[in-house]
Amino acid sequence: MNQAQTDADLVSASLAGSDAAFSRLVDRHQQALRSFLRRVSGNEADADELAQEVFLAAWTKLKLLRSPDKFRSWLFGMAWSMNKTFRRSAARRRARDEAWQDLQPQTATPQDELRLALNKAMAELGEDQRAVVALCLAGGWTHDEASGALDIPLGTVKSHVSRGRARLEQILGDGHER
Amino acid sequence: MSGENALDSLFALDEAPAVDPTFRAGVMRAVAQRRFRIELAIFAASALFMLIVLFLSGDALMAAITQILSSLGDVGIVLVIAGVVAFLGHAIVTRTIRLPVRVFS
Repeated sequence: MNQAQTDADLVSASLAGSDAAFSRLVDRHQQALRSFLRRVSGNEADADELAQEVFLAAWTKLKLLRSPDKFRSWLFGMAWSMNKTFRRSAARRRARDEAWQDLQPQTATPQDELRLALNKAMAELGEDQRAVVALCLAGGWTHDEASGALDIPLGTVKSHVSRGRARLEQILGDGHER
Repeated sequence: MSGENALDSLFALDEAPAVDPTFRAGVMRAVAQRRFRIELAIFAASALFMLIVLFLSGDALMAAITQILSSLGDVGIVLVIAGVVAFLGHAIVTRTIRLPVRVFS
């Protein structure tokens, strides 16, 4: 499988029945998608489970993708939409897991503490703002790309980015000063 | 902690691995299971459709078959059965003949 193949090439090959092509799409986008969902949901296991569901839904609905060159944007849009539904059912399970984890001896490293602080700071942002911050600040997406994928107006995306960054810096700054 | 670089390094802590064969294998296994379910549903629907067609046109079909068989004679019947068996055997063994549903994959 050629490294230089575009997403559109791989989508066409997948539609023609190539599992290798779809597997290549998974390899190409899994890191960004899982990282996005981890930042949005704040839970690594939930995010990875949902990422698998998103790829499965993408495989099932691939015929509906009108512009194969926009596969990434389409995939993340679907992930964002599925995250809203998934979050409700995951919340109950998470409460159970957290109760169990509280009973375990704590051996957190400084990195774990930083990760936890970031998760808490992200959780304080609004739902849309969190998604925009996860894509633009953490994922390096342009405002246009994020606007298209999340179906949020461009002006709102820009405002979410600047306010989100300020808010995160404020929360994390306060947390570290204490 | 403040500044863009500090945020970048914090976000890097949450980054998923760049290559994860286990995750890919999990996705592809789920894809294979879904494909199997879809093919099974298509096969079941096709079989049900054929049964209904056979049930509704049973009398006319039997009359036609009886008429054809009586005109062929014993040698003709053997040749027809051999031909059908050869066709199905070729399709299943070599998979070179496109069947409407993939029976073995």
